[in-house]
Amino acid sequence: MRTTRIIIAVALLGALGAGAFAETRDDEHLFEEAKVLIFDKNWEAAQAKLESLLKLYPESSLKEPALFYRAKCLGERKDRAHEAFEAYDAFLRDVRPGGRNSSLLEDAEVSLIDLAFGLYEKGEQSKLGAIETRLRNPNKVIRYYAAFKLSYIKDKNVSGRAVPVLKGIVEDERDPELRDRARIALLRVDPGALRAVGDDRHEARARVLRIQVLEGGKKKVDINIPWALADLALQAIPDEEKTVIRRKGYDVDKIINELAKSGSSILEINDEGSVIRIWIE
Amino acid sequence: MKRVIGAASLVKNEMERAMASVDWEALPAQITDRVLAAEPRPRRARGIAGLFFPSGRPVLRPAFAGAALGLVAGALVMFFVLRRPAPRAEARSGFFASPEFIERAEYEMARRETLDYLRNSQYLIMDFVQSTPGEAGSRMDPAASGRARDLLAKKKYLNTQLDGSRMGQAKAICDQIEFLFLELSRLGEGLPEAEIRRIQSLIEDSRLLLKINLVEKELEESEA
Repeated sequence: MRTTRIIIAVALLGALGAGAFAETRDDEHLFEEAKVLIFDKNWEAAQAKLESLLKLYPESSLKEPALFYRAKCLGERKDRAHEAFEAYDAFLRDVRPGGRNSSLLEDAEVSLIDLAFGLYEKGEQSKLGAIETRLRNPNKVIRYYAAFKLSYIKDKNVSGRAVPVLKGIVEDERDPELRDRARIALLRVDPGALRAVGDDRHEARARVLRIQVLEGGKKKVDINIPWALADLALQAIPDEEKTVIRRKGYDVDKIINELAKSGSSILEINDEGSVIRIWIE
Repeated sequence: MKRVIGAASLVKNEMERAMASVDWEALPAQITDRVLAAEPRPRRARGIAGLFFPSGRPVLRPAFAGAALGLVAGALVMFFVLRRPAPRAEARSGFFASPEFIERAEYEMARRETLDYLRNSQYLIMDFVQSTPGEAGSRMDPAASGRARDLLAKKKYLNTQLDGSRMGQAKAICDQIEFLFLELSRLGEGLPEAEIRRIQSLIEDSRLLLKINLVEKELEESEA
């Protein structure tokens, strides 16, 4: 009798375990299928798989990544920006900070900023708050991204709110690419603020690069930017002038070296009525 | 002198006679009647000409002549002010650059960063593809996980420029890489063997490394 009881108990446990295992396998299978579809950018089909997973297995351990990737699928689809915004918001409310899926958290925040920016540009003023609140986020990637994104807003009263974060990046960030990005954003939003930034910590001497292109006596290009952006600025000279520079035997590195050596002297390239002047102040 | 004094007294006598002949009480009424009975004045010339030739004849009134002179002088001053070249750039202070230039500089920066992102991703993906599931080295080591996370952060800053039409092809590859890194960083060291094989075959089947190489070449050749 006792043996029978044990056999029944083991059988019951086995059945329960098998059921649970089958469920795990099924939700994992759905998730794997969805991931392959996402990799192939088949957003609609992937979204359907993820929604099945969330509906059939609401307690699945894959619920958090499924919520995240569902939001991603919506974000990639045209005219689903509102739904995507809500979906990311729901994911951020659900996800456990510090858990296995916390790496998705940062991505969700950044995607939310992108969506808020797009909706604001289409006239939804209320979405601006979603970007502005992230200017104070303790995670620097999110904070920086919010500032960079805000700098693209045409209304200077709004984009100007990114200036403190952008100045902070130029002054404190160690990554030179991020510093350059912040300098360019400041140049777009508030060039005066860029002048006020103490840049000397990373550069030997804060100097100004001047580039002028004159065509038939008229100024075609007139630029006054930090020396730190010299390399980028010279690459961004219009194609026509770059061809002239190359034809005269110069390249960007050579120009930068010459200017760095000569200090403030003018490098002047004359070619068929056009004059290119580059110097440091 | 006597003749002058005599002529003056003659005028005085005539004035006294004339003043005595005036009926001072009836005079205002007589003046009003004569004014009303007088012929109407010729109509003023209309328009601008009317300002200067109110009677229809070319006669300048002092006020209008003054206004005309003022207008001419003002126009001359404006002509010379506007004709003067814009203030020399050398006199401008602070940084400045045109929006077109800023856009080009941003594109150039995105091009370089995308190249850098693709090269670093390539190394990480090659390491992962060449590893054998089950071996100790096949697991994502913490350093590789960290590199994947760094590349994920880098990709976020690139998104704005990648959305532009000039970087369309690079965006497609960068998005696929981002998805792989997102999964690798999510699973970290606990990557099961089956998952490793699945991701490896995903990379091989999609010819991801070959596509990365092609986009790299394209970006190298397309400076701003």
